[in-house]
Amino acid sequence: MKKKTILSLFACCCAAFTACDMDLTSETSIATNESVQSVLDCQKYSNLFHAEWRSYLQNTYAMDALVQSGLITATADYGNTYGAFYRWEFTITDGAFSGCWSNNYNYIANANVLLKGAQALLDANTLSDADRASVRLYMGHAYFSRAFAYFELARHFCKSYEASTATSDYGVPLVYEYNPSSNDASYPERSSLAETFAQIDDDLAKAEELVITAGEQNSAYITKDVVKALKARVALEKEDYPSAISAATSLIDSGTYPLMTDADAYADMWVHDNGTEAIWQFAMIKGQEECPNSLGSAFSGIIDVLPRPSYIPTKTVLGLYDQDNDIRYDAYFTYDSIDAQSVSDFMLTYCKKWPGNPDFYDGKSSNVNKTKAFRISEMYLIAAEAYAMSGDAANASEILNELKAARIKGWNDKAYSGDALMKEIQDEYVRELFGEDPHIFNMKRWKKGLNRSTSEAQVQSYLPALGTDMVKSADDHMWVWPIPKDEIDSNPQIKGQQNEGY
Amino acid sequence: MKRRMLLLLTCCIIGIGMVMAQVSKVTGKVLSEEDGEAVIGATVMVKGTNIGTVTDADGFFSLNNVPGSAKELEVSYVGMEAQIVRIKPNLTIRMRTSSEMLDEVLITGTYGSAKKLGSMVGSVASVKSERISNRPSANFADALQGQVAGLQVFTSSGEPSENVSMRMRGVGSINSSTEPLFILDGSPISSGVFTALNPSDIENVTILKDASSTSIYGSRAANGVVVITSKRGRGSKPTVMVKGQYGFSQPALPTSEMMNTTQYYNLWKTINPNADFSQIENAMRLGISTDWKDYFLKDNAPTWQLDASISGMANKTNYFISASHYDADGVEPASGMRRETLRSNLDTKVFDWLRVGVNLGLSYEDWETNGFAGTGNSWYNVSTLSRWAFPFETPYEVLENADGSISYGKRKDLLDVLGLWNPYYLLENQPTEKNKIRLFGNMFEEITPIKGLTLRASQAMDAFDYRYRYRNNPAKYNNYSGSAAETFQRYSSFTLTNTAEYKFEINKLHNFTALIGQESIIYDGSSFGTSVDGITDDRLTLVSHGTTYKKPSADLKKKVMNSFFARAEYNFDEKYYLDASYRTDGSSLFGVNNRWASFFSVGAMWNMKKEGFLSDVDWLSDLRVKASYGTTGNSAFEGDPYYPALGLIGTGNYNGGQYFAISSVQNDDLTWEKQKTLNIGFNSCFFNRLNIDFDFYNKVTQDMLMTIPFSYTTGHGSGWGNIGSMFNRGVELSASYDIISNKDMFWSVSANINYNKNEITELFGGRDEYVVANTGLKYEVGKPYGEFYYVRWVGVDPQDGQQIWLDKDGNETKVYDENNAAYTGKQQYAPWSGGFSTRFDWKGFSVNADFSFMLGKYMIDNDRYFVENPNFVGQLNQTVEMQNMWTTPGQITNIAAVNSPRYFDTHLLENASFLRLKSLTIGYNLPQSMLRKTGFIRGLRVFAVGRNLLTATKYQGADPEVDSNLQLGKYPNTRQFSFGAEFTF
Repeated sequence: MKKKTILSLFACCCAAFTACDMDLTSETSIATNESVQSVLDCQKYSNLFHAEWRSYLQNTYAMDALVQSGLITATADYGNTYGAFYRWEFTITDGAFSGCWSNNYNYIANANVLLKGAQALLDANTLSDADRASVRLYMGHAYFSRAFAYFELARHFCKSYEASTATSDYGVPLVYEYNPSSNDASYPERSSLAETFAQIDDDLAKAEELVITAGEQNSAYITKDVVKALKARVALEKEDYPSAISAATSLIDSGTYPLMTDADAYADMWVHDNGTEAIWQFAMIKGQEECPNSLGSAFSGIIDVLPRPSYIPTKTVLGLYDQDNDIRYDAYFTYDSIDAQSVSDFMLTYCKKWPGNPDFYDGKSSNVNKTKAFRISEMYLIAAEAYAMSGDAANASEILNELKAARIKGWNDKAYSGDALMKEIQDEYVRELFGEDPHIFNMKRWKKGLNRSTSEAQVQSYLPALGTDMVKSADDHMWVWPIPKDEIDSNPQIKGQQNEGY
Repeated sequence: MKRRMLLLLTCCIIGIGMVMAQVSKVTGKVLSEEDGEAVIGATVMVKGTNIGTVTDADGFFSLNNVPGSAKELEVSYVGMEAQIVRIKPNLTIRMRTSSEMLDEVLITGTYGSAKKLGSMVGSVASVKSERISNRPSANFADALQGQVAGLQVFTSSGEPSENVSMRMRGVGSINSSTEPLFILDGSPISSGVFTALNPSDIENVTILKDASSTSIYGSRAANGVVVITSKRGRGSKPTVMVKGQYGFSQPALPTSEMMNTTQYYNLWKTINPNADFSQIENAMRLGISTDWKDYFLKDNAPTWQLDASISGMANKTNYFISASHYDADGVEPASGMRRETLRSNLDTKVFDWLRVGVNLGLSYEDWETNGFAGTGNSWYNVSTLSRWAFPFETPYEVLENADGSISYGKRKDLLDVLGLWNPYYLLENQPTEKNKIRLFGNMFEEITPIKGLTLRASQAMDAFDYRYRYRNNPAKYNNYSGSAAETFQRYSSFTLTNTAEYKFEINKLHNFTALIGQESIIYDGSSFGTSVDGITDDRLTLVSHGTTYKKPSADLKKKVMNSFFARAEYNFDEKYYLDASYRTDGSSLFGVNNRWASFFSVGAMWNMKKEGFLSDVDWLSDLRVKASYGTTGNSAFEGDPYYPALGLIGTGNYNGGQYFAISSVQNDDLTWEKQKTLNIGFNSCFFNRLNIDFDFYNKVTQDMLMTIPFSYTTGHGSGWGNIGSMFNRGVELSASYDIISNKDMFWSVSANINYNKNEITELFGGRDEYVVANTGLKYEVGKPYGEFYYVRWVGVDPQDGQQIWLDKDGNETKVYDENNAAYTGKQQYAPWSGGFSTRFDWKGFSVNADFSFMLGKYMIDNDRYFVENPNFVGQLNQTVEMQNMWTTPGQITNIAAVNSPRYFDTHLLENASFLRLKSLTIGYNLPQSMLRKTGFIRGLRVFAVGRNLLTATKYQGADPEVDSNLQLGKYPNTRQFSFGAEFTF
């Protein structure tokens, strides 16, 4: 009897434990295909389109590109950071290439997820008018982000745009829908460079239509003006000078972003991330949202107490400035002690453009500043270059003088023309955007080539053993980054489409 | 003692016949030949009848009903050789210990009743406790290295809390785990339990290798099963054991010899004559040259351990209770481990038809790992810094005396020449505390309602609670602004198993066993962590004391598995064996379309010695031939994701608002990786002394769970999928020979070897090759997984000092081009592995030496890229080899000229094959005659153990045993010496 009771109990236990539900969902995440179901969801993707560029613009690939440019020399203590780019020895497996390529395509994929989901929301016709307007704005952000990503891909992985050869030069693969799969037959091949730029223009046009937020100084969000600034940059690259002039001058003429002229205020802009010049400046929050700045770390990163620069400006760069009167010189550079490792600490001039905003750290700075994606001064340079390239030396000189007058105390306007004009514009790019813009893409556009020599170093005994003397002609294949090996290996359509020379 | 313990067992095994006829009475005594003591519980049977009895506590037996026709008695006892003696009055029978019989281990798997090793159809090997206990390592698995053919075990660093990696019969998978399934006392455990388990609690470790023995474990068994059995109480008298052991550790191998100040000066001058030499010249003037290895690595880090256990049997209850303490310092600073364990194994026969038991382990681990040791190229990693630091820097203040000599002052917190904080100073100010409480064990209820039928339910748990605390005290190096972090983590797995087993026989010739069962496993994990900045007082360093709060992290996850299984076994007169098993497993890990999978096996064994034609072949003591075929599965994804089939988003913040971002790829078809294994082998024994076991296996892995590389244009770098296949094919040979075996002296040798050939037979989609970026590895159809793919470096041209490589076609070239990378024929995974041991006992002395080896293993010595590279002269110290750098035409050297850039090519790929004296134990058992006088001490053994005493290798990096494709700044493996004493009461 008792035996039977126990036996039946036993049987019950067996039955009770047989089935555990196997349809489990994650509590830490939600399914991608259920992630765009409301206006709020769209806003979350919009937040992403800002966060993406915040983490991208001054990351290690930007420093890789800057190191390639020849404006800076490595120090003996650089520890081979960015060394392959310094010595122009990089190989197609370098992480910079797969990183830059995959990041941009990831941004494009996210934009595609939002665009499809948001369009479905609009099509369902259940939203209020206010919600429809918000969804359209977020779609505008997605188009902007996609255009930006394609433009970044084209700058890094394609030759400079030449109208005559753009239909036959390689662009980058174009993706319109998010549909990840291991089916390699579905992977796209490279479009032509003309098609790539047509896509960028198309996305920018849509962004212009949908992003109706008015621009403001230091905007943390994508505004009309941000779209316009990118448009100016793209048009210059595409040799579409009228569009470049129109976009750049409309921002200048709007008066929203006056150039700063006060030395202290200008210097403080680089410390406290204030000022009047930034068109898009990313939001950061202490302890919560901080983005490492690879440029700042390489220029003035502190290991212990004093900065230990891996890279310092060349004498040539420092010589471009009117060191007494140019407010940029003291804002960007300092002559001070550094924490040298292989030799005793000593003084030299290093870049302090990204010293770290004191609002973001306790104790030791980690060079976190709010990255400025676009500044008004770049619009002056774009307009000047576009005028000069379209033969309008007078307007080019005028706009260049406007910028110089703001920056250099007691500046007297000069009329430039011909090669001297171009030279001055190019030098002004360095003076204005040093340590902010990778510069390599300007050099590529100007087809100047690179000539960096040991004699340009501030302290020759503090150079690394190898790689400082570097001559590269404008037609060297390494100006164009290689398609990363991973992509070549996994995408059969792109296999025969590697850039020349790799 | 052992014989006494086995009394009960014997009673259970032997059915004692009933008395039928009354003829005469036979009495006698059974003694052990070895020590003359009584053998308790020996079975004495009248030959050819069912009449028999069992010896009593003094070894006496009495048979009252021996028929007149009977001539002989058959005496048997587990662990002794059976004897047949002629019947005469007052017999004294002396039994001899059987070395072979002592090896007879009972295998208790998870499902069904225990089996004798010799009756198993599958390929199984066992390692006994004596090989495992007394080692100064916290992790018993280290001692398994080289013990079992086909099992590779690696201890990759000398960190005391380091776990081992294990592989059975080659690398069975690329992106899924290659770790075997671990079973402790019938329940699955994670390998994390290894460091939580007191090695002295282990009775034996059994390795199940082929499908016949592992298919019943289904989807978790593709890499084999390691069954660990803890000790169980035996013997009517309680046994108390107390053991203490003390020892010390030091790096197992010397690392590359670095330059002294003068050597470095000369090199630097050659390379960069314009450099600033003021500091090094000053050091040379003062005669400073620091050996940093000596400063950072300890030569005598202490280890001590204390074990105690009580075991025995009371009424119908077996008990084994143990406690232990283990404390070890690492050879690097801020590294060590302390562990307390408790174990309680109880089982009791409540009624004739009900048995209930509990096996419980509780451990508390408290450890510290050097936070910088994990980052190979960190300056503060002492392993790296002991190579990199300039010899002209000193860790102490230098005081110049009046007579021009120098003396050293106090420690420098800032190494001013290097411009680097002293790692000791940083580690003191950045303490980490890690501790884990772990509870692992099971209980079972076993009902025998009718003869032969056993119903069993077991409930097992493996769970831990982990705490991590990190402090970065406010100090000069962080401008007096510190930080703090804390993490809590909890994990549990519950396994509920229910089985029914029915055993029956027909005519005592046909023996059947059938088993059906069901199992559910539920895994739960959760964690929470937070960190703060702005700690300004080193007396107040909790996370609540910070001023800047960081976003906390949190995780919650769950996975479940449901299974049903069945097994049938048959043998004919213990001569012909057949078995078959089937299991179906479902898991929440997989895509909705493909959640369930089934696995099966069939096996057969022929015990040839039982055949009439071999029974009188005296030299052949045993011969069993076996074959099996079956399938197993693998669902242990690399990185242990809980939702690998789901396409999920990730989240983050922008300007205080949340964002969504794509993060993983959905795959509704994702399913099990499958493995098909064929095993053919034999077990043999000659002259009762020489054992030879041989196995051939062919394991084919299909539908491999891989992270398939996607085109980045999809938005993802890769996604999980089932694709590709490969095989592991090999042979295993084990042999042991008892050279001398008599009462006073015993000497045996044993050896095992495994050769494994791996080959990829299918890859992603149509692709037949894939390069794993920046690893020097490439997958290619027709090639083994793990063969290095690099540009082949030939040497240095004596004329111009430039390096020479081979291009794709094998022609020499002086241009480095990554496209010239080619297969090198050198593999990360050793195709040859094995070990050999010898044991020598004489009177109370014993010596035991275990060697292990791996051959054909290669590894990249990444350290050399930095310390044999002129590009780093002026920044990092260099090895003395750099003195041979090419400078003049005609110079023959392997070190290229200064202007020849160094690459990751085969010049860094080194042969990491090794032969290691894994352990050497010397022990002495004090004679009974001496102990008897104490009245209460029953046994005293003193012993000395050495671990990793000798290593033969060509590898120049930290240690050849590291299980990786490359090593950089690796925490060196340790050599340990330990001394101890074990008392038995």
